[in-house]
Amino acid sequence: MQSSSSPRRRGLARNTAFALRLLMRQDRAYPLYASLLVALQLVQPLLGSLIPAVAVALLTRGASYGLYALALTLSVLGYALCAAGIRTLDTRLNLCFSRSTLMEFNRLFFRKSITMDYCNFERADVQALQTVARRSINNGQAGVRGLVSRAHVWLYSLLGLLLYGGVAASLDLRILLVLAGMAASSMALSALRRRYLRTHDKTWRGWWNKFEYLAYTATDSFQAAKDARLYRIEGWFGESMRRTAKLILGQEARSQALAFLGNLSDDVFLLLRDLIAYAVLLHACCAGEIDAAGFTLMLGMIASFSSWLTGFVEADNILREASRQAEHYRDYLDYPDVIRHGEGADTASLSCPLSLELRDVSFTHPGSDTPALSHVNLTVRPGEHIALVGVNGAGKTTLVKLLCKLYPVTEGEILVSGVPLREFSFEDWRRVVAPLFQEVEAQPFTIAENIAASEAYDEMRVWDCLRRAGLDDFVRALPMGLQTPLVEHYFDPNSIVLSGGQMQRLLFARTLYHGGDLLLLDEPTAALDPLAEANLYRQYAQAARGKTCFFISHRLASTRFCDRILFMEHGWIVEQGTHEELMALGGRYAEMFAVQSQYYQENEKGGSADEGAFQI
Amino acid sequence: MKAHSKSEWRTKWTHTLRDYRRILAMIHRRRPGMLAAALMQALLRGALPFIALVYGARILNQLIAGAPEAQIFSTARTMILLSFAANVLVHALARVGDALALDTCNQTDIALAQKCLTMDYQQLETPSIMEMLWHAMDTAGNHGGIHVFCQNFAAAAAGCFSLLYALIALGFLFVPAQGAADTPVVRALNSPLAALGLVAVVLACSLLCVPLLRRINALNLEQEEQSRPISLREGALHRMRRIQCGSMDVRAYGFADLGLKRLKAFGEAYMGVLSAFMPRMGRCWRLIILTAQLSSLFAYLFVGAKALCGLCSVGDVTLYVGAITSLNAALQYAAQMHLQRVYLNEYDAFISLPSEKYNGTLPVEKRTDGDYAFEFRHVSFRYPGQTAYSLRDVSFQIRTGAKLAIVGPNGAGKTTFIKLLCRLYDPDEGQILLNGIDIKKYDYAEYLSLLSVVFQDFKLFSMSLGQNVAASAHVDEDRARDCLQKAGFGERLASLEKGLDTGLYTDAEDGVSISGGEAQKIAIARALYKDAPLVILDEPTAALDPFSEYEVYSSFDKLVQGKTAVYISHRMSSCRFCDEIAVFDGGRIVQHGAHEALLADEGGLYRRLWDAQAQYYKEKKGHAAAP
Repeated sequence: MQSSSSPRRRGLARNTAFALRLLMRQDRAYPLYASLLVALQLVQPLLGSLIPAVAVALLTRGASYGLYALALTLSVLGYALCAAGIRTLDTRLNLCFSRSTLMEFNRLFFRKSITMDYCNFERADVQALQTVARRSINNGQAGVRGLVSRAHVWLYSLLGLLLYGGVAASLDLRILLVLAGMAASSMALSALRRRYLRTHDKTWRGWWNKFEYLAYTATDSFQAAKDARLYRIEGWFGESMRRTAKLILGQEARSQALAFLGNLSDDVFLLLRDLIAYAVLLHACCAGEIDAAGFTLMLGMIASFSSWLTGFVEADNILREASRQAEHYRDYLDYPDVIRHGEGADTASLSCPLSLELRDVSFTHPGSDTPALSHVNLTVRPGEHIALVGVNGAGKTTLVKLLCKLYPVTEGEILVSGVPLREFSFEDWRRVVAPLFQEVEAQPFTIAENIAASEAYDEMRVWDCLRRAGLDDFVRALPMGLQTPLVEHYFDPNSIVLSGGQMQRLLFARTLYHGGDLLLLDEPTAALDPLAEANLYRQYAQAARGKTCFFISHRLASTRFCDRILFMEHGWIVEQGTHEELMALGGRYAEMFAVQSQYYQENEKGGSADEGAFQI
Repeated sequence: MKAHSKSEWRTKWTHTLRDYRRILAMIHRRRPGMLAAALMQALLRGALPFIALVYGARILNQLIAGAPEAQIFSTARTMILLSFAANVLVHALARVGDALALDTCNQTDIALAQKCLTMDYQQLETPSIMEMLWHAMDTAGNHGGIHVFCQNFAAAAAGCFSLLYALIALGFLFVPAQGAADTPVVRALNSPLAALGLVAVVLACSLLCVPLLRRINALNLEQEEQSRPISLREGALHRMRRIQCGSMDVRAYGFADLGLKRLKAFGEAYMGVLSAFMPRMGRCWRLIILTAQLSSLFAYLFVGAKALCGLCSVGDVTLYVGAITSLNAALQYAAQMHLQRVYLNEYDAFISLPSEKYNGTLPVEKRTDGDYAFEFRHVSFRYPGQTAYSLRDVSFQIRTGAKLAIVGPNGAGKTTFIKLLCRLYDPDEGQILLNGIDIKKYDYAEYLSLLSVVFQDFKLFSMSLGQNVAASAHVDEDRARDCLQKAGFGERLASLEKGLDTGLYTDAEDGVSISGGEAQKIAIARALYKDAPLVILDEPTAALDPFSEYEVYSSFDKLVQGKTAVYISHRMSSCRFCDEIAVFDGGRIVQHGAHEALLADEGGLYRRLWDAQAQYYKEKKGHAAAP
């Protein structure tokens, strides 16, 4: 897991090339339309300055009204056609930018978010990076989207400056010096501002992430709604959000103050430019060196040159700022995975049922110094059913995550039928292991798709899995049956919200459908009533038949279909054996079993506080 | 008939004006100073081109008239200094405005969050209201909402000021020039009527834009209408990338392909809408550009004719034409602002959505003895849109100070019972009484202060541990520590370096990950911290290990300290320490009484539930056959 303290900077050219390459994947015609647009935009100011020039020239030279009318009509018409053409191309390019954003930028961002290693994804700094990376594609003027939508503006400003900059030769040297000073100062100040923004970037993205998290959590209505009302969290959320917004405003104020410095520098240089220009030109005019038309022409030339210059400086500035934000996006996409993806050892040739061997396996969360699992040694026979029990935080779930390759092993090695686990690619291994996690969340697809994790599914098998999970009657009664969408209830009346128990059944059906050879069941009955629970235990036993299986439960009785029970504590396996062996051992397991079973003993009144039979 | 349409027209305008007033008031509320900055900036920005136009023309005329250099230069200096001052001010205001606009957006989000957290719970399940929320969020997000409105407002205001200046400038057109040749043509051109005619033609050209702008707005709204279902579904899809939304499942089951396929489909659909609408809007914009140029052509032709006849100077030509162009720009910004208004109305409609729930005014009697008696009297309830009753004619009394266990199969109505008790819903029939008075008659906030609830699907937030326990930014640290201790989190708390300041999860804090069991303990601590007289625990030990569960059970008396407690659990063992048990089935209470009595009823549901779990634990030695 890399420490992303100083991600490399890629520079304006590389970032723009990157963004345009993605855009070209969607629209090969972009260069054509962009260059046409730039060409028309370069012609437009020429036509625009032509109209008043023609008018003044014709009027001062006493041309006939007919000629005047004709000339004006033609030049205004030309200008209008040019403007309309620009508008058309602009529309076309905007479509192209939208397409690249939707189909490429968003896709890559989304793909990274749902495929990057879980151990990285759950890091706080990666979550914050995700927030700013998203901002970098959402705003039309900023980030990677800004790079594509402003690239042609930059080109146009540069070409305009080169093309119309020729007039510079005829300008007074002092004016040129002032303008050069203006450009240099403006660029230096904006570079300074960018450096300032970059220095504080990490802190700020933390604030943004927090603000957006709070806003999302509050508006994602079903998540927190009941707790929100009972504990009246609006005050807490309001205060936290306002506090964060204040920090953000402070940051924005400083950043805007720096931007104002740039503006002020421009204004002062323009003041100087105008004073010099008028002094020089008026003098020349009064001395009879140039006439009124020449005076207007020269002023126009100065104004035009400096507006090309400021235009370019501004376009460059905006592009560089967009590039700075695009770095967030690229840092996110380039965040390195630590788990093998793509090609790997062949999982098809593994002999089933699988055997597992954990050799001195340890896992420590990054940034923590206490290992969640330490030096676990374990051999699992092919087809063996292992129950993992122990107190909260003993490392049971961590072990499941390691076996799913969601976490990398920090130390030691896991062997699957003799092959090191790390040799398999995540994508291949995924087909072997069928986990059922503690957290129950549906995915935003239909019931069938939630079970099959695919659009193409075997309907018979889906129904069979639903039946075994005890959810088939419920689904059959739904008007849309298997096609009922989940997670879309807030806008689709066909969508439904499943209760905790139903969710657990749905996810169990998914695990059944998966059919992997290694079954990992993590507390799968928490929300089920006793009758349903007893039924489901039977289903677990059946599903695990002929497969290697890990089963985590706090209901010790439910572990009886397992061959061996491992009792874990503080990241260690402290006891192992069958239920009888462990009971005979009289250790922690026996203690735990006694604690849980006491309430069910008929003749003694269990559970009163003063009993104190068990020291914890 | 005519009167009718006139009054319709008038209502429409009053509505529009009221909308603007409301929106502006709302912006002002969110971030005072924002509008003032925008208006000031508009005033100056509108003036800027006219400084150059007016003084530029004057300098030109002075030059042509051969005025002394010093005099001309002083005119130029005035112009340059004025422009400089105006520019610096405009820039300063723009920077202030940008910072404030950003903050206004954030304040908008805060208000939206507040609304969502406080609106009726039942409204959250009403699809039409949820749609309003999505519109409102869309407004705040996709359309830049207030930010863009403010920009357009400033631009439209700048345009209006330009127009004002332009009209003043155009005023010169109406003044007949003196000493011109007396020919019919010159006379006609020189008459105020001719100037009026020009203004009329220019205005007509500008007004030609109005239906076009309207058409663009209509297209925009239609596009929005068509793309909204897509963006809603895309929004739901994006939950896949939220860490708390099953991101392990997404990876372990390889949902990526399905997700990406869907994303692509939504993208294509959205592009389909855009490709249908954007060219149509583009056509309207082209026509607008052409009409704008048409009006400036008229201006050139008219003023040129005047200048040729010697009725006005050459310098004036550019001035007049410049003034006319700004009129067109103002109109365009105004039209965009008008469009923004529609979106902001959606936001406003949601924010000011009234509560539908009857909220009484009775204060809750503050009793030190905790003598609060709750009673369900013939309560029936169906979830909105459902035909089947979730609770049917339930009559039940929760005795003060008693510990009540509620058991029953999934879907028996246990959680619904609790939701009604919390007034998240109101009963369809019957009443719930507190000390003999319908709970609707109490002030809702006061009523809620009587309840400490740990819901089955409780939620903790990615903020500090202490704040999570206190559900507030202000934490009574001793009390929080004490509650965590009681809930069995003491040992873990001691191991945390930052103690109560430790963040939870990694969504918004660089926090620690906590297991399901630990989360449950924190949720219990939160309920204890609230210290309400009625404690309701819905499956509070589902994720706890047996030792922690034992701790909760055995210290339950200490936890609730003589308060009234309701305990819902699938772990039948929990019934052992409760005084009274209510067995729910099919929305009714089918059995109720003490553990021994219920167990004695061999054919009863309670006995069946009990046996299902107890069978595993009874035979202490024979762990023999698998079921």
